[in-house]
Amino acid sequence: MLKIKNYTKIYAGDKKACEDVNICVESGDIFGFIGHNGAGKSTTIRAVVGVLDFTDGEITIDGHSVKTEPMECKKITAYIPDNPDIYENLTGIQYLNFVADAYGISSKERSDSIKKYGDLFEITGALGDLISSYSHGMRQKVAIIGALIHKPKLLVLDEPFVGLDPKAAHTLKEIMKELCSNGSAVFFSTHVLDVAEKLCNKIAIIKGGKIIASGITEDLLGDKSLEDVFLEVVDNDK
Amino acid sequence: MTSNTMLLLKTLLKSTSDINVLKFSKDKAKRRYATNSLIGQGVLSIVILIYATLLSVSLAKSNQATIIPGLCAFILIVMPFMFTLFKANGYLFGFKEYDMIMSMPFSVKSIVSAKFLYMYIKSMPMYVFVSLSMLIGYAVGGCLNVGSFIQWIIMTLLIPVIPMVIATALGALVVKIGAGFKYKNIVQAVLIAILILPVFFGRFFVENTMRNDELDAVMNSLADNVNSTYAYIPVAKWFSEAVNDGVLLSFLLVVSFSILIYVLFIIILSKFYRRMNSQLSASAKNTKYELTSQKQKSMVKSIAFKEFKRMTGSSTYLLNAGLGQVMTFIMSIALLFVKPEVVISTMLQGAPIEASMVFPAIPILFYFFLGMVPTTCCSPSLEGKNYWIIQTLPIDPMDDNKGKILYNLCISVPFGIFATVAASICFKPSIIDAISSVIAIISLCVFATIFGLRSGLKHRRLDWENEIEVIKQGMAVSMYIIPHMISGMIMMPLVVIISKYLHSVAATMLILSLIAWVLTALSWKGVKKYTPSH
Repeated sequence: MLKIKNYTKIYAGDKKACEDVNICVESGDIFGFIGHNGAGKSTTIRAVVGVLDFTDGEITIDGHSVKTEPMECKKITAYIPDNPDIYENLTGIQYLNFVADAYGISSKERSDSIKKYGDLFEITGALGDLISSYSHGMRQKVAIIGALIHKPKLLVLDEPFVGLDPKAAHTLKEIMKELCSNGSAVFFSTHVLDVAEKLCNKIAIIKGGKIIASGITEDLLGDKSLEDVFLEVVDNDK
Repeated sequence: MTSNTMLLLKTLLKSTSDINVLKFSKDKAKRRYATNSLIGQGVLSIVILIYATLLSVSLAKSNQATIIPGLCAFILIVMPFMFTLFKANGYLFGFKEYDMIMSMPFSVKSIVSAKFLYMYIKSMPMYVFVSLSMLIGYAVGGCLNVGSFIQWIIMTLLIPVIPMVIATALGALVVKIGAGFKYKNIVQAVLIAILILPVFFGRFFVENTMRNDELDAVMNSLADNVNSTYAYIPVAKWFSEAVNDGVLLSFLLVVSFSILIYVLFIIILSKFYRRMNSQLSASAKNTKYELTSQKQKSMVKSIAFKEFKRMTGSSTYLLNAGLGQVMTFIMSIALLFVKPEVVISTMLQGAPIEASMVFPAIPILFYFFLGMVPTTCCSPSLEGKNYWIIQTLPIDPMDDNKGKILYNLCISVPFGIFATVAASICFKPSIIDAISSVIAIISLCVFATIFGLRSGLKHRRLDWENEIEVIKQGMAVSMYIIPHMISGMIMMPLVVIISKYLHSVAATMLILSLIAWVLTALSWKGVKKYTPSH
């Protein structure tokens, strides 16, 4: 579903943010992307969703190149940034309609999706209010509903659990599993190692812009915890 | 225009519309702010309408109605060019929802088009008001017919596209150049200022060359100026020919040129748009910093420093709040090298006024520029989502105010003193007169700072989408700038008259200072009233 091949991002002044990153996310995968702050997670994610230009390599989604066929990629992808900056002076429902319009979702389909996910995240009653009056968690929930509205083949999330209440976090995890069981794929970054360990079937660890460990969760961990493995590989790479 | 462009445009307009807030917000303060904002925009539109109508009717009454179309086209080119240069980069690059929009199935072309059209629609009412006012004058002159009316309206909607495209292209070029520098915001602001200043001073000189005693002479001078612009701005000529002479080709030239330049611009910018935003939104982190001993500062100084970093961290803010200082500095340097007669002849062309009469107006002139957009006016709103930091730290809100005041004084008073000293070297007044002028400019800078803060606090708006909304179009700035401009225009001739009557520049300056301090005291009461208690 998502193939990142020799991805390299160099900033002005020849500073490498990411170098030769290779990741493969198959349909049905929940892929966790782990690393320190500033390791290159968000830079990679933003390149995957077509927000950030990159220097070298190739990123394809369902066989379409992010660089040369961006629209094909975007139509089947959904992205939730770490701090969802969504239009403050729209109401929740206005925002969701905007997103649904962008993906060309029919009235019936969007109503069903909004109802389903709005109820799951217990936010339906607040959708008539302006987003500016929402808490961080509520904005996050609206952004998540917006991302799910077109049933994406690839869901990309940057720190999705930050700001969510425990129930909403549980709901999101269930939704991620449901999406994958239906053939979609999830690629997300997180600092919550326990969640990644339990939720992901594949994991990659990035440090200083390079992948230092990657693979099927069970193979990577063996009989250790993800926290132990993370600290071990990060320290060994010094 | 694609349906995606329309969808984005509609959403952008809705998301920044006061009407949406009035319709859906349950927050009384927000609703009040939205109402005031709508009223403010209405008042500003009426002022523009009256001013432009008076100008065009005066032209019509002095049998100069045929130059009105050319003048109208000239205004429709200069105004959008200036305003777009100030705000295009804020609208098109590095905006908050960039990631969200770019990750959705919108083509870059749709995004660029929607952003440009949004900017166009937001500023269009002002240009339409100016044009309609001119149209009234043209009708009073008895030149209007159905054909010219229709052409006028169509061309009014299309002509601003041309200067807006040129200004946006220049803005984009500045972003491209600036992105390669470490201090990209400062480089961008300086480059934009370099582009704006010739237009601004050019306009200043054009306006002043028109100031003669006789109305007819003024109108003839205006006619000459308008005619001479045709050589440099063919669009103004086409507008005039189409409306005055019914030349269909000229009308078609305006229409086709506007559309062509817009389409070309969108195609070209779309090719570089993502790369440019990538350069702006992401940069390499410096990991080589070594911690050295840190200095303790007072709370007020610390807040002033924060204000300094905020200003230099945003090219839009730096440009809008710093342009007055740049202009004052340039004029000050010029004053050091020219004779007073040259200054007077430039400012008042041929008017029988002596240097001693002009000198008292100098501090007002500099106050006019230095006080155009005080940082105290924007800063309370610019806290935006970071406001919680000030709210939760043990900072007395009045200390926050004092820090903001200190910063604005630091960037206005030194320029004011330097400019007044330069004017004193040029005009050679007595020492007492020079000192009293320096006191006057300091007093006026203090007034502008405190009055700006009063407006900034009273009309504070924290939930903006784009900082340009509170820097350029905010209620706080609008409610400050209108009285500032009116008071400047009234005070300038007033001090000349008072000085002539009293035969003393020093006494006039002291009266001016006294008035400034009284107004400062009144504004300070407002500052205290509108300062929130954390």
